[in-house]
Amino acid sequence: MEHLTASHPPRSDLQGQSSTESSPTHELPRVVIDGSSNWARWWSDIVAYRGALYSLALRNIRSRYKQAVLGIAWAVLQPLLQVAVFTVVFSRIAGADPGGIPYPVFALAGLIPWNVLSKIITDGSTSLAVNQHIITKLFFPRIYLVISAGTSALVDAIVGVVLLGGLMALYGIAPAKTVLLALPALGAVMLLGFGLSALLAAVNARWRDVQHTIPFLLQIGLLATPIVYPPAVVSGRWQWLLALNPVTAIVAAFRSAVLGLPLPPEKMMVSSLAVSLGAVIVGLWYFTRAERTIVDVV
Amino acid sequence: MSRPAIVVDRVSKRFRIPHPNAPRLSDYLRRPRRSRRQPRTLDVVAVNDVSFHVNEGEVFGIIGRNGAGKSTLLKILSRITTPTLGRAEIAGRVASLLEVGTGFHPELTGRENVYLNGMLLGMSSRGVDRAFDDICEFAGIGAYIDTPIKRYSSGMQLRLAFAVAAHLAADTMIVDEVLAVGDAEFQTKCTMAMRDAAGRGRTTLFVSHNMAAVENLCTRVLWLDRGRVVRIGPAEEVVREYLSGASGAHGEISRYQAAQPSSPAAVRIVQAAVSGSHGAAVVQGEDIELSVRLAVSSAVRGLHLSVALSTIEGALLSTISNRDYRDEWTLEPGIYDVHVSFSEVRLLPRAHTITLRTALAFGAEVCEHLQDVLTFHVAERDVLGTGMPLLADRGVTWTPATFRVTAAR
Repeated sequence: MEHLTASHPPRSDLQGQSSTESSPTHELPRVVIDGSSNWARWWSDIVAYRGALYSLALRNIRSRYKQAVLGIAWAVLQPLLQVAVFTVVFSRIAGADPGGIPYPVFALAGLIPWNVLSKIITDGSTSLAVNQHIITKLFFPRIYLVISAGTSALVDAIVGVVLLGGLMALYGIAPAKTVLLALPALGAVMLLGFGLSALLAAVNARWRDVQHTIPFLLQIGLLATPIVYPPAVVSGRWQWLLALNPVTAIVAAFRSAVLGLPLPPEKMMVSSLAVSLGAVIVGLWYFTRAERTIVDVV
Repeated sequence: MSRPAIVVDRVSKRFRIPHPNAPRLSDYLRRPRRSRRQPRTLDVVAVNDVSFHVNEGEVFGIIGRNGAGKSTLLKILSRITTPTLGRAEIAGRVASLLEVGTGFHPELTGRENVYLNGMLLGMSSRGVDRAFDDICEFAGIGAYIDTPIKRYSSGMQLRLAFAVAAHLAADTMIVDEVLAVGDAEFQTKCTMAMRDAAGRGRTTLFVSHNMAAVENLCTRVLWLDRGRVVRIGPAEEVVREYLSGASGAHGEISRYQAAQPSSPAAVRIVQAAVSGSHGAAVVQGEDIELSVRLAVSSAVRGLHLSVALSTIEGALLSTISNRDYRDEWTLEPGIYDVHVSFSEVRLLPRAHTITLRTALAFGAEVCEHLQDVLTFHVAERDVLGTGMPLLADRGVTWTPATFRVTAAR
């Protein structure tokens, strides 16, 4: 390792000099800079700069609850308050009945995958615009910003799962044998969120209209998906609409896996997974195409 | 013979920016056909066919006026943006420092920022571990290392940021104007650190407006002007030539003639010239005369012309317009000559540039902006009448003063 300090040279000058003369340049790997896109270079950058990804992710997590008196307690309070509000509105006032399962457990089990999706999209789609001061001054694979924005969502998911465990214990509900199936459901929702964020981040870098539209769409999505109400609430005539929504099957799969309810139809789960993978492919394709000149327009 | 550490081969960068007079959405609604014909974007070539190479262990300087394309070139070589044409090759790991403290998070402590910033710049976590004590000592932060850096003074933040950067383990460093900040003692420290690195065979690309630092640190220098290479050569030679501002075709441009009617603006600057009060040369201590010819194609109200005076190194000296005198012009179509006379400008013998800008209606609508359109050299004169001229090392201007000494009681 070479250091630049005047006061603490790690090597003696003599060694330093001789190593300069004996290390010909052609031994060093050469990076080619041109206007083309090159998948091999893209992937080798992803690996070579992984320290930057770790740094960005840690930066996100560490800075999140700074200068808040309650600090990390907010990570627990937020989903609890959310569940409390939905319990009052949907269970007490609207009288939604999830059939045998206490409403707060039902709601939290649905909110965990939804909040992951919502957080990834909210943070991920603005990640390039928010960090424009960094990307205009420093190189690292730009997709790291989208990925690292998702790490807070991952922390939220872990906190949510722990809370759900506590809530289930409180109501005396044991997790179902299928509980491990919840992991692929979480994976699918993260893929979907990542794909959409990559696409939206690249668009938002140029046109900030995206970041003003997303909160509305997410609000609508929360109500248009059977998350805080059971799917049976929707009349048979409109069930096909719920089935078209790829998040429906993912949320249902997560909830059913944990609580031992019947899983959604296989066809729906497979098509949701296909949509998620499709989102990743389209998102990455658009992102890599846009990232070459994104700094010029952000 | 090994290949050079950096090879830049005919690199160009074109930006497409929104046209200043691009039709707005409301224009499309009101006059759809005319709006569709108007240009919506403007191509700006920031770097134009630049080629050079840097040998291993060389400290290579890049100089030029503001807007010459230096920063864009560094951004291309740092891979922040891609070239439109051409290609470049860099050997080994590159650490680029286009700004000090990029990625510092104000809410995090000094320690957290050192780790996160170091890793963002390409160090491994163990690499930061090893360098951590050296970094702290270099920065002189002491006991504040576990305080959020938003509580630091700006000087402390800067020292910490440079300390991290100075301990990067890279084969090539790309540095932009970092030394322009900080107190004198810290600048000396940075200069020493850079020379030390160069002495150990690290290739360095260095952009600065500080000609003393460039001459001091660099072996060779590239002079860029309007995106093109003017000269590449030994540091002292190129810097001297650049500062004298009088090198053939690229030097003194005291006259400007607009090319094709490129802009569809209502008011265009078609000619401009600068001279001294007694003829062509601008002489130290005398008035400066500027004449600008305007072509007005449709009647305008509230027109103002602003004139900005800068040194060739890019320091802005003054900006003044007719609006400052509450005198905005209402003009019918035609050709007009504007004479601007600058009195009491006390410039020093060096090259200067003039930037012209025309705008309408309280500056809301810029008609034309001609950055550094004129270049002129101020001729040396014995302004104090003492036989000892005041030269460019005195600063950017000279100020007459009276000195009187009396015995204190």
